[in-house]
Amino acid sequence: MVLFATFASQSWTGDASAQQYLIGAAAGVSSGIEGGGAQGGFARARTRLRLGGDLRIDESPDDIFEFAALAEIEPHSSFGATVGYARAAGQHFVVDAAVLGFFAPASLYGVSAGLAYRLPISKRAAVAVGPEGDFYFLGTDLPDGTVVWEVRIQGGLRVDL
Amino acid sequence: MSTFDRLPIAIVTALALTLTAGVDCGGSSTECLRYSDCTSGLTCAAGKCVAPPPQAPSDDGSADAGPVVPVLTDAGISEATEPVADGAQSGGDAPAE
Repeated sequence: MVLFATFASQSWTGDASAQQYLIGAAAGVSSGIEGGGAQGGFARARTRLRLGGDLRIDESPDDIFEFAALAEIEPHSSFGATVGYARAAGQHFVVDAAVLGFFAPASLYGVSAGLAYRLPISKRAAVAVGPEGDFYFLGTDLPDGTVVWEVRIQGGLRVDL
Repeated sequence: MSTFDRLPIAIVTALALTLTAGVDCGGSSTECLRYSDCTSGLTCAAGKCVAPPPQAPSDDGSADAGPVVPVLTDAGISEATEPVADGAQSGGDAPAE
């Protein structure tokens, strides 16, 4: 009886608690190789900076909404953004899928998928490292009939706010 | 620092150089995947940065702007928008009455 009462009170408390949003911020850099053009070879991908955040609900902390601003900085520059969904897979791994687009100096749109390993360095901060694959198939920056793929290694820092 | 202490650093350096040696550093001004890979004034075609193709005929009637299009008047007489001599050379299939 006591056990039942204890369980019931805990359940009631859990139901009564309000949803709370968990916000994180992240910054990173990535580069890798790209290909897909008429030549069939590959080249080094542009170095990309990423500055963004993520949003979760405490009731479902493994489901993560991600967003970020993107800036390719060399050897040519462009600016864009990405939004996507990520899912925590275990304590240290996160997989994600997203749409991304660049808007200047020309448009370029595609999808991406990635895996990140988060190595905690403090209670709130973690270093994130992992591979990412991008496919670009729309935009005024693409020659006709061209699909560009990229395989990147990204690294950065993520902090719980 | 002994030779064995330096060995891991040497291996990592060698691996990094090996991985990047076969990759075009992206600095090539002739190869491209995107239009923005090319410098200003060039366009990306078949994976190469090339000069853009000649533009369509302009309205000012320049001689080398392209083939001359004959214009038929109400009287059915063929008139060319270009000088006759140029029109005869580049557009030899103009209707003759």
